[in-house]
Amino acid sequence: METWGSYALSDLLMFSPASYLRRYQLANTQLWPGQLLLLALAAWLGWSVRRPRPRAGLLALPLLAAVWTFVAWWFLYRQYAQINLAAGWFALAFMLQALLLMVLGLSKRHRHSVCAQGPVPNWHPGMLLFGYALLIHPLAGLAAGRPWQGIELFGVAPDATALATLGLLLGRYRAASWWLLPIPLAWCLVSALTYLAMGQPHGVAPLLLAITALAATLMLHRHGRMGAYLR
Amino acid sequence: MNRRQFIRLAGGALGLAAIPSLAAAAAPALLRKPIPSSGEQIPAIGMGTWITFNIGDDPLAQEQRSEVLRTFFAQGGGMIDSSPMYGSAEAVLGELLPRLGEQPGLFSATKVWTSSGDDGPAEIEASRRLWGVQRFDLLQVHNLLAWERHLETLVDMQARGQLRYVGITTSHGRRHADMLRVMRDWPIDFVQASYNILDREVETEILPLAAERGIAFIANRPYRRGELIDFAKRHPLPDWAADIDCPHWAAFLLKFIVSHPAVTCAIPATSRVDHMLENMSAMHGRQPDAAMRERMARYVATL
Repeated sequence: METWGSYALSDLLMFSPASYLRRYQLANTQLWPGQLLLLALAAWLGWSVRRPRPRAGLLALPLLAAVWTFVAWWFLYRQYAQINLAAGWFALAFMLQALLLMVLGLSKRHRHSVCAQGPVPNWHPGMLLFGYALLIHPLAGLAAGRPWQGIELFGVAPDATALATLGLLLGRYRAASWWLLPIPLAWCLVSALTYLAMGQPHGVAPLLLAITALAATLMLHRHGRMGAYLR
Repeated sequence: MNRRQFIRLAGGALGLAAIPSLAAAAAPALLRKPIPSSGEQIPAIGMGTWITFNIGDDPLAQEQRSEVLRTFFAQGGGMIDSSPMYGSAEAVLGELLPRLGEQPGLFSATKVWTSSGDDGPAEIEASRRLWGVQRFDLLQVHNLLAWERHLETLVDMQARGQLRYVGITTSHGRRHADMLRVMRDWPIDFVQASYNILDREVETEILPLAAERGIAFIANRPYRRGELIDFAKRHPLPDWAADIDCPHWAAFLLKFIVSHPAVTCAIPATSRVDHMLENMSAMHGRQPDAAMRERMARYVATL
C-alpha cells in the first residue's frame, strides 16, 4: 500500500483504449434493436418531466431504476468486468442506485410530492443535461472517431445513463432527491479518470457538464429564493 | 557445495559464455540464455501480456492475438508472462494457446497476486485451469505482495514437482530493497523487475546480485509500456546501429537489455504481428558488448 502514491494514473489502467471501445461495440451489437426501446423510454421520461401527469411522474423513477439495473448487468457486468477487475464493484454501485431510485419512486412522500407539486422551477439546466445525454453525447463519440456501433447510448452506456439521470433528477425531482446524486456524479468522476488515463482528455466533458448543470441549478434556485424574498 | 549450488554456478558460467565479448563478434542465430539454477536455455525474448491480452471474449481481438501468438512461436519465442492481476489475460491465453496446437517451446510464467497467503494455492490452481497447463514453468510472487507466505507455498510446490521455477517480481523501480533481501535469503530461481535503456537502477545492485547468486533475471517494461519506443521512433536510428544488426528501434532497445550478462529474458508486450516480428528480431545477429551498450545508452539519453 505504501507505494500506491507513486503510481501514475496511466499505470493503473489495465486495458487499452481499443479494448474499452470494443466493449461498447459488442454491447450495442448484441442488444440491437433493443436500443430503440430504450430510446423510446428515454423520450417518454423527458416528456413526463415537462408534461407531468401524476401517474407518469410515479412511473418514471421505477423505470429509471430498471434502466440502472440493466446497465449494471448488460454493460458493467457482462462487458466491462471482462477487462476491468473493478467493474464488478461499479455494477454493484449501479444496483445500489437502482435500489435508491426504486425506494424514492415508491415512497409515500414522493408520491405525494409528485402528485401535488408538478414541475419544479429552474428545470432548464437539468433538462439541457438530459438532452445532451440522449442526443449530443452519442454524436460526440462519433465526432471523436468512434464507429457508430460503439456510440454510448442511454440505457446501455454508464456515462449517458448517469448524465440523463442527473438531468432528470435536477429537472424534476430535485427537492426530494439530493441523495440520488452521489453515485451518478461518482461514476462521471470514474469515467473522467479512465479517459484521462487513456490519454483522451475529452472524456472529462461529461463530468464537467454534470457539475455545471448542478451548479447552475443551485444558483438559479438560490437566485429565485432571493428574488421571492425581495418581492 | 550442494547440487543446487553447483548447477547455479555452472549455469552462470554458461550465461557469461553466451555473451559476445566484442561488439562485432558473431552471435548464435537465435539468442538463448541459461536459467542459472538449472542450465536450461530459454529464448532471450519472451512476451508480456499486461493490457495487450486483456481483451475478454472479443472475437475480433482474439483472432488478432492468435496471430500474434502464432508469430511469437514461429520466431522461436518461449516465455509468456501473465498474472491474475491482468484481467482476462490468463483466460485469453487459455483460449488461444490450444488453437495453435502443441507448442513445445512454451515456457509458462504467471504470478500469485493476493494479499492473503492462505488464498495463494486456490488462486494458483485457478490460473492453472485458465491457462490449461499441467503445471507452470515459473510462478512468481507479484509485486512482492504477501511474499513470505507465497514463497513458502511456491517452494513447497517446487519440492513436490508441481512447479519448475520460483520467482518474485516488482516493477517501476519499486521495492528493490525488499527484492535484494529475498534474493539473499530465499532459494529463488528468477527475479523480474523493470529494466530498459533509460531505467537502469537494477544495474547497481540487483543484476550483480542475480549474477552472484545464480538467479535468472526477467526485464519487464522494456519499452516503458510503449512510451519509450514511441519516443525513440521520432528520432533517427544511429548509423552505427547496423554494427549490431539493429535495423529498427525495437531491436536497438531490446538488444541493449538482453545483452547484459545477467539478464535472462525481456518480455515486451504487443498486440500487433509486425511489432512482434520486430521484437523477435532482437534475438538475431550481433549483440552489443559492454562498450557498445554504454554508447547506446548515451545516444538515447541525448535524444
